[in-house]
Amino acid sequence: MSAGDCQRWMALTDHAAAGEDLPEKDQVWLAQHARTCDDCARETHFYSSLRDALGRPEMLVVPPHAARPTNRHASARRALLVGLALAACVAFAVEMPRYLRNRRSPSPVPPSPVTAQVLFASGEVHLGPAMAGAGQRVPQGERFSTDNGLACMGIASSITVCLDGASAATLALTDPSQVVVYLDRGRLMVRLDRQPAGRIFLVRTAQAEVQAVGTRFSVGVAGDGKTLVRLHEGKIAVRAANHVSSDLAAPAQADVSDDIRVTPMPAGARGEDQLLSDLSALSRTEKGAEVLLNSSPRGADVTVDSTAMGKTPLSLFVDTSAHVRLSLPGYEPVSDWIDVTDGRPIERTFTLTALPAPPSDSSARATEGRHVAVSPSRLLGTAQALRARGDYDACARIYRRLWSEFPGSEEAKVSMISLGELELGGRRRPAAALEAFSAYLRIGGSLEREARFGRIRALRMLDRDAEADTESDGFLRDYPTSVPAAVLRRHAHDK
Amino acid sequence: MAVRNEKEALSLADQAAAGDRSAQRQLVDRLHRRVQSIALSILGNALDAEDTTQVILMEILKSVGGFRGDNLFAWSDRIAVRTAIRHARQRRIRGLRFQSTEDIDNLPLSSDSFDPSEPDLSRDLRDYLTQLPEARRAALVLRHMMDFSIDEIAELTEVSPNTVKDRLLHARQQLRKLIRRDRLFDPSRGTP
Repeated sequence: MSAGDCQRWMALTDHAAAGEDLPEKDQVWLAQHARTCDDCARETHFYSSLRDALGRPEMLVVPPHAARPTNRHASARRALLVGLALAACVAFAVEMPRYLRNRRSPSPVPPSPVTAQVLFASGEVHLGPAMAGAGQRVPQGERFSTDNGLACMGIASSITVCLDGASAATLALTDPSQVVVYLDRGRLMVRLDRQPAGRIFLVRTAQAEVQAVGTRFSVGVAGDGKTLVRLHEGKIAVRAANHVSSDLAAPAQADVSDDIRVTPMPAGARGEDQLLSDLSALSRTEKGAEVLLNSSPRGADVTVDSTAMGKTPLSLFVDTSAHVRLSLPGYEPVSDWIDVTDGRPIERTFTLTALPAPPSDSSARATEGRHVAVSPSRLLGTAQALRARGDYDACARIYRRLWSEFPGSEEAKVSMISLGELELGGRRRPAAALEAFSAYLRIGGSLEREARFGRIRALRMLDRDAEADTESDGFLRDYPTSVPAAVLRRHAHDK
Repeated sequence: MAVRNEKEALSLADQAAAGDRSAQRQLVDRLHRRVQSIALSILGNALDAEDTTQVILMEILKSVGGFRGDNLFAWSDRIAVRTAIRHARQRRIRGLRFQSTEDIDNLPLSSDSFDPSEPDLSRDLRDYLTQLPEARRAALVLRHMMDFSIDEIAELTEVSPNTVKDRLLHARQQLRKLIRRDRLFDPSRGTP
């Protein structure tokens, strides 16, 4: 087999694709060549996989060795890293720099240096011995810990790592070709975009190593040292201390100790990870301005754009604007918009007023007295355009703004359906979707069917199957011939 | 689940067209996954594909009276392709309000909005498809996934056959580069 054979194979297959009939002898030769040439075999395999995808997606097979270069490259590296995993956990400061120096990156495109920054901190969060807040750089080797709080850090503008309470992690960033987070205790959630070619991302505990490309997963270390990995999206490779490894595809869970035990994601697991997942979705960017929220008294629960974010004091990045709400039992909740104008840090302290009776929901009064400069139709148009552009976070903020600023308008009602679909689809936040669909149903309107169908899908994603079943039965009674009804029946049949 | 023969397909279509809810349900059940694959492959974006799948199924139910019993899948495929392409165009026009300097024909789709947990297509296969500009991807999918002829693709996408060939050739060359490039990083062959 020569390069000329491959050139001929390419030319002939291109001609065939363009509709030309090939002589039989050429067809025979094409098949023979593909059997001897791996590259051409892969290409053939790609097209046969594509054909199989039509109506039978479950029969798709991944072309052999045909993952992205990052992935393959990372896989090659992983084999080199395994032997050092445990030693590096124990003696990170001594071993890691030497190890990293000794590795030569064969990457065709040298990755740029990696930096990390605190994106969000609520309650007691420390970097080393000092209190941490949004905007602070996370130095290599510094311990990032949450005692009675929550925190997220952004790494290389493409990785968000959120720590649960009572957790501690350390970063290794010396080598731009790999980012390693050492989880000493507690639990973390990772949301990871595709990494540039030549860079891999690893989470290591005393007993496990997790490697991922473009995915969302959580890793927790139990009191007995066992590691629990939950994969919500994408694929990861998990490796145990005894070098046993396993590839996971979402949704799945793996218990890692001496061995790896892979199980389906249990009911309720999503709910347990929901808070960290929401945090990691909301804390995706270091663009905008650092915002420090405080309250008197301290310790108020804070929601940002309807997502619970922890307690005051709380610091985070706000891109353009965000709706914040603070509540504390026995006090009147307060809410307001934080608008970023010039990118400078914003510090807001809210004084909570004690009430004799339990506070009522003040969301309807969220923007009372606020100057309104835009129309609901304009806001809706902006939101739709943002969605079309793929800027889902900004789009969700506009939908929520519509709802709070123009609560009686048709646009606001429609925005709740759109927001629900967006949260279910693009942002994968079923709890927020459920809230949006429910908000619509509380007022009611011509899109009730869509709202009810949305609620059912959100409940399923939240593993609240009993409620979903009940609502599904009601839906099928009320809309028996609708397309969503057919979808629900199919789902029931598949179960 | 395949429609077993033309007679059965025609009978089902007639019943659905006459408003038989059970027949409509059966029709949707039979076509849903196929339509979903088509929408996903052409649009590339899971969120848009989900919306478009619903629209396509509604279109099919509305048009089912026009089905004359030759091949149900071939008939529904054309509706699915036309609708998906129309939605892709609408999305592109909306996107251009923000990105007017982009070359329409070469505007690649972002793959950020893909949900890797969805079971519909292999993530790796989808990864390759999303590397292609929208027009080239549509040509590739119609030719290699759905076996349409060049002339049929030209008709469906409303361009000349030569444009289809050009898009197809470029899509194949781009994919070829990606597939061969990935092999360079195959650990079984050693790093370059």
